[in-house]
Formats: sequence, C-alpha cells, structure tokens
Amino acid sequence: DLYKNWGKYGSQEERRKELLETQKSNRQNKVDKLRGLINVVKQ
Amino acid sequence: VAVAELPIGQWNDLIPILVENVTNAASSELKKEATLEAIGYICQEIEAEVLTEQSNHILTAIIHGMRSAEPSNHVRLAATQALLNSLEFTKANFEKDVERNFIMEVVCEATQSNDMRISVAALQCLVKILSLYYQYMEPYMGQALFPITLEAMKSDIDEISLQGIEFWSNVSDEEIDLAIEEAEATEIGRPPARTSRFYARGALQYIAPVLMQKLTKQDDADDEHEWNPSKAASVCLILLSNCCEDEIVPHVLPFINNNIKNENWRYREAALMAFGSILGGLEANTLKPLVEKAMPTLIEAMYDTSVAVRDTAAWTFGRICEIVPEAAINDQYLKLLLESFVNGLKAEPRVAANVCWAFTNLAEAAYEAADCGESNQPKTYCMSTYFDFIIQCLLETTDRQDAAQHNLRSAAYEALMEMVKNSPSDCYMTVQKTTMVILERLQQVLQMENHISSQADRSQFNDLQSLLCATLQSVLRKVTPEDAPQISDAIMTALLTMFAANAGKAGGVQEDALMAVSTLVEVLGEGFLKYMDAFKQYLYVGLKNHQEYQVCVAAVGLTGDICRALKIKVLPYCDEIIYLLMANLSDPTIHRAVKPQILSVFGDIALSIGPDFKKYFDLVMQMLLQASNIQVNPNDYDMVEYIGELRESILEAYTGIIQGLKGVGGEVQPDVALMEPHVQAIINFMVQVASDPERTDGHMSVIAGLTGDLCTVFGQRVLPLLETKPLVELLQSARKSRTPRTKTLANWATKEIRKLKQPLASW
Repeated sequence: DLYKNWGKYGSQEERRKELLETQKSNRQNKVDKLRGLINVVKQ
Repeated sequence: VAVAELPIGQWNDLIPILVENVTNAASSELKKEATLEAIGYICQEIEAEVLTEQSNHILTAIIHGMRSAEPSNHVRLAATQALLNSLEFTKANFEKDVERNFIMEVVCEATQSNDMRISVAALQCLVKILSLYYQYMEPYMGQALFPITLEAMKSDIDEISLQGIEFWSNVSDEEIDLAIEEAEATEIGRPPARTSRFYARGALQYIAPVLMQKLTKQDDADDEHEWNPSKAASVCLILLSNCCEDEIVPHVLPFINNNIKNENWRYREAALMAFGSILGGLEANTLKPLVEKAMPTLIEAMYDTSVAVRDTAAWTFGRICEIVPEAAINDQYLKLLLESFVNGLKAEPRVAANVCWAFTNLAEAAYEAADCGESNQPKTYCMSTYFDFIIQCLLETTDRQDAAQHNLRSAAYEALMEMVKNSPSDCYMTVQKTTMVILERLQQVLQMENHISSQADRSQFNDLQSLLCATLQSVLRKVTPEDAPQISDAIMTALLTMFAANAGKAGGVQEDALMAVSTLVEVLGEGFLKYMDAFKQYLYVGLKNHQEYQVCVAAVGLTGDICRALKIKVLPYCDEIIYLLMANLSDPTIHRAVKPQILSVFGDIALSIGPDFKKYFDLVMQMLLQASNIQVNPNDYDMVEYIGELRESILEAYTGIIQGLKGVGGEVQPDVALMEPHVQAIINFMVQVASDPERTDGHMSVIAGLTGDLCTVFGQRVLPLLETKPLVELLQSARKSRTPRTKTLANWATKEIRKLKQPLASW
C-alpha cells in the first residue's frame, strides 16, 4: 500500500469515520449545552 | 480434515504419522514431498496454539526435509514452504539457543540452493523470522543475514531480489515500532520491553545504493498490478527513511543530484522517486530547505517528456503537500505549482490521478495555513483567486472519458470534496455553483439506470452514485442554513429516487445516500420534518439491512441525527424505530459494530422525546443493563476494543435518558424518578469501567459527565455511592486530561460534588 500510496483513494472508510465523529460530537454538544457547559462545544 | 479435527482433540496420531513419513529413510521421494506439503497446508490454516505442543515433532520433520543432505529438491522445497507456515508456533524452539542455531543454519543454507524456488522460500522464511523473532537475531545478523540478504537484493532474478528488499523493509518496520514502543515507555517512566538493535541504521550505507540501483529498473509498461524490485525499493526507502530519519540523506542525496537531470528517463524517475520516498522521515530543519531548493526542478519535472517522470513528480508533490506543505504554499512557487497541477489534470490518467491526490493534500494544508481570526472559517486563503478555476478543472476531470483508469474519477471527486470542505468564505459562490452541478449530475445519473447493460457498467454506475452522494455531503456541509431550504427539495427528491431504485441493490450506494441524508438533516434541523413521511420507509429498510451492516450503521447514525434535529416531532416515528433497534440488538447474527451505535441512539431518542420515553424505559434499561454485563477474553484485542466502545455507548445512553427524563428546563422533572432504582447498578458499572486498565479518555469524559448529572438530579443521595476510590481517581486523572472536553467535564463534576458536600457554601 505504500507504493505511490496505492489505496489512497479508498475514502469511504474515512467518510464513515468522519460522520461518526460528527454525530458523536453533535450528541456531546447537545448534552453539554443542557448541562450549561456551552463553551465546551468546539474542541 | 486435520484443520477440522485437530482443534477438537481428534485424529491425535496424525502428526506422528506425518513425521514418520518424512524421517523414515525408506519413504519414497513422492511420499516425503506430499507429506511435507500436507504439513505445510495444515500449519497454514490451523490456529497456531493447536500445534504448539507438537511443534518439536513437526519441526523435526521439516528440518529433516530441508537439510542440504536431502537429495530431492522437491522434498527440500516442500519442507522449506512448510517451515514458512509453521514459524508462528515454534516460539519455544526459537527461545532455545541450540535449536534456534540449528534452524537458522538450515534456513541460511537453503537460501544458497541452486534451485531458485528453494532459495526464494528460504528467504521468505528469513523475512518472517526477522519479524517474529527480531530479539534473537543478533548472533546471525552480521555473519549471515546481512550478507545473504544484501546479495539477494542485488540478484537479477526478481523473485530473489524482492525477498532481499522485503527483508530490509521488515527490519525498518520492526525498528520503527521499537522506536515508538521506547518513546511510549520513556513517557511513562518505564524501560521498554524490547529494544532496537538499529540494524537498519548500520546497514544503510550498504543497502541504499542497491535500492537506488533497483529504482532504475522500472517496467517499461506501467502495469499497476505488477509488483517488481523497483517498486519494492521505493517502499523500502520510505520505511528506511522513517526508521533512520536524517541519517538517510547523505546516502541518497548524491544519487538524486547526479541523476535528476539525467538524459535517461529511468534515472530521472529513479532520482525523483528516491526524493519523494525519503521525505517522510526527515526532520523539519532538514526537510524544508531541501524541498525549497528542489522546487524549480520538481515543477520542471511536471512537464517532462516521460510520462513516468511526470507521474512520479506529481506523486512527489502529493507527498510534499502532505508532509511539508509550507515549502509549496508560498508566494514564490504557488502559482507555478498550481499551473503545473492544472496542466497535469489533462495528462495521462496515472499522472492526473496523482495530481488529484496532490490537490487533496494541498487543499487541507492551504486551509490550515489560513488566518481564521475570531471565526471558525477563514475569510480567504492563498488559493482563493484560483479556486473557481481549479474546481472547474476538477469537475472536467471527473467527466473524462478515461477517468475509469488509475482510479482517476474517484481521485478527482476526492480532490473536489477536499477543496470544497477546506474552502474559505470568499469561495462560497463556487461552492453554491458546485452544489448545483452535483445535483444536476445526480439527476442525470438516475436517468441512466435503465440503460445499463453490463456488470462493468453497473459497477461504474454504482461508484458514480456513491461519489456524487459523497460530494453532496461535502458541499452540504458548507451550505449556509439560509440557502439549505432552497435546494433541499431537489436534493431530497434525487435521493429518494436513488433509494427507490437501489432498494436491495448496492449497499455502498445506499450507505452513501444515507450519509448524505445525515448531512442534510444536520443542515436543515427541524426543517427535515417535511420529508419524514416520504423518507421513513427507506430509513426502516436501512435499519433492517443486517447483511450489509455498514448500511445499517449509517441508518442507525441517521436515526440519531433525525432525533436531535426533530426533537419531540420525532415521536410519531419512535414506536417503529425502537422496535427495529430492539430487533437488531436481539439478533445474534447482526454485525457487532451496529450495537454500540444503537445504544447511543437510545440516548438521542430519550433526549428528544423527554417524558414520552417512559413507555420505552423498561425495555431499553433492560437492554442496557444486560449489555453492561458482557465480558470478553482480555487477550482478544479486537474484543477488548469493541467492549470499550460498547461501554462508552452504554454510558452515553444513560446520560441521554437521565437528561431526557430530567427535562430540558432548569427544574428537575419527576419522571426522572424512574431511574432511581437503577442508580446503584449504573454507578457500579461506572466503577467497573473506571477501574479497568483499558479505560480510555472517552470513558473518563462520559463518566465525569454522568457523575455531574447524577449529582444534579439525585443530590446528596448519590454522594456516598459516587465517592468511591475508582471514581475519585478517575476524576483526578480526567482533570489532567489533554482533551479539553474531558478536563472541563471533570472540573464541572468535581464542582457538582463539592456543592453537595458543602450545601451552605452556596448561601
């Protein structure tokens, strides 16, 4: 895989990870707001 | 048959029979060969621990067959291949000096066989032995392994040369891991369990020249599926550079300088390849001036007469934009570089695909280098002037007739997505235009559905739908909340058509389409409600897709997004959703990756519908308590990681339920009393997770948050339960966490505890 980065375009996995992270972060932001911890939102 | 029976204690006399077949002088050549092949197949397929006890007997047979005294090359070859498959369970033999010496002697001897197949198999054994038993290699390295593998590298026979190169790639790989282990051990103040012997550094001056020589032996016809010593040499240089860092420079730079303008394209390409390969390991102080000095030559190489040189130049720029973007992003070179990139997009697919990759890396680096000021997004950046033109060129590239070659279409869409994702405010008009282009393409592609005749066309059609959905995600993330409602009808219509056409077909397309809906939900918020009645059937189809679990995961994640966006308005859909989620959790055949996501979504549902969650409460709590009790083998790393994820999701679900029942206003709602009988079990679970050596930062943060929530809701009643050593210790560690959120939650939870302990202090 290292040769000229073969497989560098297999980005669906990346998209999955990114979306899961976004969803997790949105969930946490919502809970943190309810706790009154608004400034935690963006890390 | 052996692989089926030996693990369950049957056919126990098989191995002795096979050993006897090989060691008996009266056995025929054919019998010995067939027996050793059988041993090889068994060793290849069986779980290593099944044969550990019999490793002595098996090794006896194998080594007997491998000896140089063995007259038959067929037998020697079968024995050497069997050894290759049995190395995993011969740890005990490698731990004993005498036995190890004998094995190494026989293997090294076999590398010198006149029969190329035996020599290659023996070299493969050395490659594997090095990885498995690195710590025992010291006595053999200087005397045997180094000269044998160096000669092998130099060989004109590709199969032999490849193994020699592979050996040194493995040495580098191993020593990179050892360096990481040492750094981690130093960080926690412990000596490392294993140490590097720095063989790669020692051998660098001898192997680097051979590798560069091999780089010049490129295949004339660039077959992307053909592996050869030239490609292997590039990979070996990448690993050697990561392992030896700056020490590699004096061994490679003279070759680069002498050949980068050579008349022969092979030398020019090899020099560029050597340059691109070593970038990853160099220190910043060495790297930046080196690349800056090379920039004019590299840009020139983008216009070389040889396609191989242009291809490698584009790849090298991809590496530069990834590793040292500051050398490219400057007033002196950026314009020239972008011109060469745009030109490269029109070149052969292999060149254009590497240019796309370079754009992908450049986009991210340029965005990161931009000045954000106070806001989340920069107003402008160094590529703003060229942004619209680059996007046009990338869109044209995705449409090239030959874009199916060398992954060009995917690479171009990928670059497009990255450019859009990393675009500043002053490029928003182009983002809007791109959104419309993607939408049009989506509509066009859906009309092609009925014209597909071959399997190959179908596959390309599916890939294109996936890429368009993925691009839609990236443009939607940039669309402002004001603009989103203007395009959402058209987008949703296209996506619904796609779901209808794809029901039961390509999972990848459904997954990307669900992910696109997720992004739309995030942008529209409550505005997504108007699509729910038309869309819900496809959400449910996704939730029921157990075969393609990634589709199911995407549907579960989307369910959470919809709950957060619609809030109480999701209530009419909750019965069906809860039913499907419960059915998934109860299905023993469903992929385990779906389950943690479902548990987290229970929290999302509770948070959205608040007191209406009561009707699902008992069912969900029962599921969560049951999931809390799952135990796994601590030596199974995959399972340990999975349990970690599951636990975090369980704790997220408890958090959502408590918050939901407590109510969103300041006053604690009485419904939360439903939780009270379970508080002890929840805290026990928190203690269990807090005490686990596999505890992660994610666990600390969710436990800290939940601790604060329990204090807020149940007051002093929970204090004695929370003030246990593992939880107090967890909060202490979490307060020192490097993750800001964990730190903040731990501080907040600590304050909540203090408030309860000193009620008068608030007066």
